[in-house]
Amino acid sequence: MGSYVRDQKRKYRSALRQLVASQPTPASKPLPLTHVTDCIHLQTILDEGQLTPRPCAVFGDQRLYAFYARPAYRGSKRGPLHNLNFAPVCFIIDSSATNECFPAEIFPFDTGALRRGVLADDIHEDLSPFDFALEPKVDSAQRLIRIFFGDDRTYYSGTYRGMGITNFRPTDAEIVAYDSLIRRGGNKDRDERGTSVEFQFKGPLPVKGKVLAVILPQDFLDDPGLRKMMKARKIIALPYMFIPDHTVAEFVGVFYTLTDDFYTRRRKQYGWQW
Amino acid sequence: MAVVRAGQDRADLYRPVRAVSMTGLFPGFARPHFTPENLQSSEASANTVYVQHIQDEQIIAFEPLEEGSTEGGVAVAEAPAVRIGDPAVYAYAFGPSDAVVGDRGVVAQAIEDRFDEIAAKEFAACTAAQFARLVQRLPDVNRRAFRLLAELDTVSSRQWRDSIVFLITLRDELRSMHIRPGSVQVRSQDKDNRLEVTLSVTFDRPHELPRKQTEDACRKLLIGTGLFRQNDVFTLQLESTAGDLAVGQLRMVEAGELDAVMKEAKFFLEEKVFLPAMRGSSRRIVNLVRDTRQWISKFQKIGDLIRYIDRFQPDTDQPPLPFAEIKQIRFEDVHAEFVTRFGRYRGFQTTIADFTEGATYSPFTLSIYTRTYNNRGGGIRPVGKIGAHQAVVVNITLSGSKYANEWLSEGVRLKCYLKAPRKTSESQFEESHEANRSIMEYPRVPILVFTRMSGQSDFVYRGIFRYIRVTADDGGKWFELVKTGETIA
Repeated sequence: MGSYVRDQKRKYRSALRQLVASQPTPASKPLPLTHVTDCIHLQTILDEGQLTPRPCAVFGDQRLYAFYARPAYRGSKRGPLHNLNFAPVCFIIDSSATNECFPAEIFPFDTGALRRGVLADDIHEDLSPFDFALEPKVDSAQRLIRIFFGDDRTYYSGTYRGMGITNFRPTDAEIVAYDSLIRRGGNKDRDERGTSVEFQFKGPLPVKGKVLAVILPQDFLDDPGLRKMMKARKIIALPYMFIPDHTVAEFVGVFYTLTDDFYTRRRKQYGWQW
Repeated sequence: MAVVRAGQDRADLYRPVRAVSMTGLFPGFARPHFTPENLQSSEASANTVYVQHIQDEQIIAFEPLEEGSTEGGVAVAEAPAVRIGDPAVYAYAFGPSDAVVGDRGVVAQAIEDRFDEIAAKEFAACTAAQFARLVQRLPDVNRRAFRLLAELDTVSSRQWRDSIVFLITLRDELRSMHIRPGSVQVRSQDKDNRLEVTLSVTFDRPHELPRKQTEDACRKLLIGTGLFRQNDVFTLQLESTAGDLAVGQLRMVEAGELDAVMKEAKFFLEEKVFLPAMRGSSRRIVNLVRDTRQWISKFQKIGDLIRYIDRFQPDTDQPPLPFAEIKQIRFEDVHAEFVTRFGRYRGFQTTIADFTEGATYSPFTLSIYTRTYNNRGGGIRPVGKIGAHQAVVVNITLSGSKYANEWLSEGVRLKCYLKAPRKTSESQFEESHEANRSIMEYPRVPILVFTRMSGQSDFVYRGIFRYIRVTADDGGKWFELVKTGETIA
């Protein structure tokens, strides 16, 4: 299977993009972006203050992936944590980081899952991910969520609310497909990445001063140097108990619980609607 | 290369050959790597390294590792081979070249025997003690880790305690009741020098759960963590998964939820009403939106806001609107959707109990409570329709001038002039004015008195008063109101 490459001569579908763009500017502050990666990158990211793109087989170039609000893990294989060689860490990043480095693309689902066929039940094979591409700015995620989920919290839980969207035509295939996807695929039991709003960056994303919190194996906090650094940079530590291969299915749940809790406890501080 | 699952190769054995640290931290857990032996199926490859998949402490599959990820770690000597369905294999690395590999019992014993090598690292000790179920050591290691984390951030330490320590501790108890980990949540708060912990469980048959027994068992487990004391409070909160509550079962709404709903409602009005109204509108409408927005921002309780929006319900005989132009802001267009989304919170309105003696309240708050939504028409305002009004709000300015409202006895007896009639042709301070009648003709209705001095904007709540009599002087007729000391439930 080849990589997805945007064909400059092709006119991609735009009904979903236009539907989202037509929504009023959201009044609430956007929730953070999340980036889950291996723990071996933790120190480098904190030292360098940036997230770096890596080779991406899905798009055939170097890309950096982040998700809106949900701590979704973009694994190279089906399901969470498969073949993970190192313990995962999750960076919770203030979305204002995108003011310095604009996203290259924003998609309403995990494009890796699309490529692997995980979303095939709902998204026709003739649809390209670029048919679903949204305007590359943070509030596109908010507007999409308002239309299809109602609010950030419902999106986070993946509960389909049946918003009763009527201002689209049956021939707006990408809207039909996306609506079908979130009706049936938007819950954690199946694979929450299917409907997690995906941000892609082609260049390094500066995150110095933008990392709000890090979810990390608690054993890392035995390092006094790391503790000191996190305290100095006002990065909240959200430790979890990591035992390899142990209840892997719960691991994803733990990340969601910790992130949900973080949003709840800090919503007033950051002005989130949560 | 395919994942090898149960049913495909139950006869195949896999032997742990190496333990590789996933965090690079020692002492700490490592990941066992396996190589297959005694192959009887074509699914596994002899020269490939595998890792296990575990579910409920059992091996359910083996998966080949990616190329390039098989290096490093410490070689394992003479560990027994396992197959799918066997208990999970664990590895604990005390050092880069010192690892113990085996089932839970083997590794737990090694941890217990060599705990002194781990103890110096607070969090590693936590992880190890929890895994090995070293109940004697857990309180101390948890407390040490908690203190360390609290030095970084208090909220983070509490979140760790609740979401990690408490939840993991209760996990086995919950599993025995067939409660999935994803359907539980732990919340805590410090109150009166005690920790109050609430375990919320979403369960499809909450009435079948032996509540007292479960609460006692959970409480005992929490005490064992060392982060929950004997006099702390534990509550088990059960919610049905059905969404429809059992008849007679109330759903308790947390303050945080009401907060969030209020914000959501305001955002809804912003997006659906104000922003569309401002697009391409005249300056007058823009100013109108600005003023109305200011009003909306003053609402603190969702029920009050719903009541306000109800005034714009289409085709309904509503009381007069504060100003005619407000109809150009199309609240009625969104009324149905607003009520659909937020109507179930209608009951959360401002009541007498929300006012605290000595506290200050803005004119907006009083206008919202009295449902007049107009700061100009203050003085004496019944809350609700006359005859069914639940209170009367008296908010007055004590100017100190002659013929002004004043204390006859500070904080206890108040002189408050009757409300002036609208028409100058009527007699001054007519007793038949509706506002005045709400006091005189309904002596049992509580009168909430708010006062301010000249030049102040906010009013101080002085308490509940009762009507004594009407008296007259050269300034006109006035009420004598006396403080009751009465508390309204």
